[in-house]
Amino acid sequence: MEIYPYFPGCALSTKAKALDICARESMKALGIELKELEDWTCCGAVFPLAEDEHIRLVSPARSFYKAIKYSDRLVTLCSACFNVLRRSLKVLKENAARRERVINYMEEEALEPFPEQLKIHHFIELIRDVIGFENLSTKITKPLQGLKIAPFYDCLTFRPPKEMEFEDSENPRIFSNYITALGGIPVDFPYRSECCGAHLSVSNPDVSLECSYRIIKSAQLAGAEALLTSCPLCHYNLDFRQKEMAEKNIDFKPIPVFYLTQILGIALGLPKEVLGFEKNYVSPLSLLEGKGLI
Amino acid sequence: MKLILDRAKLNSDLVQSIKDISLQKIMACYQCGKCTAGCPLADAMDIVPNEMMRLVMLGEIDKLLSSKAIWLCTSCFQCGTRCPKGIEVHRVFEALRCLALRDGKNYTDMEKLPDEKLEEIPQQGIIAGFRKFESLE
Repeated sequence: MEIYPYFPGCALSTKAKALDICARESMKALGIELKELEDWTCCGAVFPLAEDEHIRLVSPARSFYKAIKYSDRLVTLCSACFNVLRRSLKVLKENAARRERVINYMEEEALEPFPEQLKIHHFIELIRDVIGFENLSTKITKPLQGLKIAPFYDCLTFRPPKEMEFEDSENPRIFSNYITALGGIPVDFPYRSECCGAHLSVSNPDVSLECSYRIIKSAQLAGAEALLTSCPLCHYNLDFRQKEMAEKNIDFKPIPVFYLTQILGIALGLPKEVLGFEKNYVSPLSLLEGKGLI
Repeated sequence: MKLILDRAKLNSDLVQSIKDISLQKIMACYQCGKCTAGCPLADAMDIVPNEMMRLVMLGEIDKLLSSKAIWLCTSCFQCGTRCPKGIEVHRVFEALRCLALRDGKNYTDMEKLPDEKLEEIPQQGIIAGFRKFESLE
């Protein structure tokens, strides 16, 4: 079994456990062990956009030094962690002056040379590049036949494209290809890469609700039966806040929102307690039962 | 909006701070409006992204520091992604927020966040929210 160091992050260890558990168990079924990085610390949650905020790069740097002891790749899944870790690594690799300042803060934690060979991998990249989508489709036991899923391409995983160096953020395909590999039907929709309102749920909940509502409506109009996201905050806004959408809009029909890894778990036939649907506000159970998937 | 152009404002320390914090070429903006067209929060903003860029050029920083818009920006990076001049508009927004936060304005009162929200909202949202506060509704 191949082993990769894995950075779960705060949300996946507490509020988005289904995303985490399905990732670990699915990968195990596919012959890869995601080994939690020992003593990982919070990534900082928000990448420091200000050029003079160096201290906030220390926490990611700390994880880089720890990860390199095990492998030259570090796998993560939470959108915020992926965004922060990937961009921080790029800054620290390319900007010698900022790297030196950060290393100065770290003292004995950074005695070795900076781990420039490290790469931050998103879980979906591991599937695409190490397992391969075509190969994946031969390994699943329960193809998601007839399930129309609208993939939601969150801001943090794909933008800014120059720093994330991932998919084309204006025309991302990766989640669609993943859904196809799992036997489902990907549904493109106009609002697939719009912001869900993000942290405005804390300070301006009405404004953010409007953003999330537009996304849900757009997916429903395109014929989706469910949405897919890899971001814990998008999941909160798109799934949990459907409670308020239903209160405000009399014709509102709830729609389940899957975590990225839950549909992989379904297709691999993992047991219900691993899939963790009790944490989804809109339960996908009746939809899945209707399709004969659980 | 009535503006009186003033050389002192154009070259003020505040404008320089924004350039230093954001590292963006503010003067490269030619007001095409693509940032605003792509901004998912533009309809809720009092000053939309391309107007913000223009006001920074003209040195009208006080107007921006008292705007709602800088706190409604979610840093989704759409503006910077689509800018044909390569300006990372989101970094200019962040620089404005930094000026406000570093001046002691708009700090978050954690006590005001209801317990159930604290329980439900993922950590990334809470942390991001605390850095960019206007007010709890």
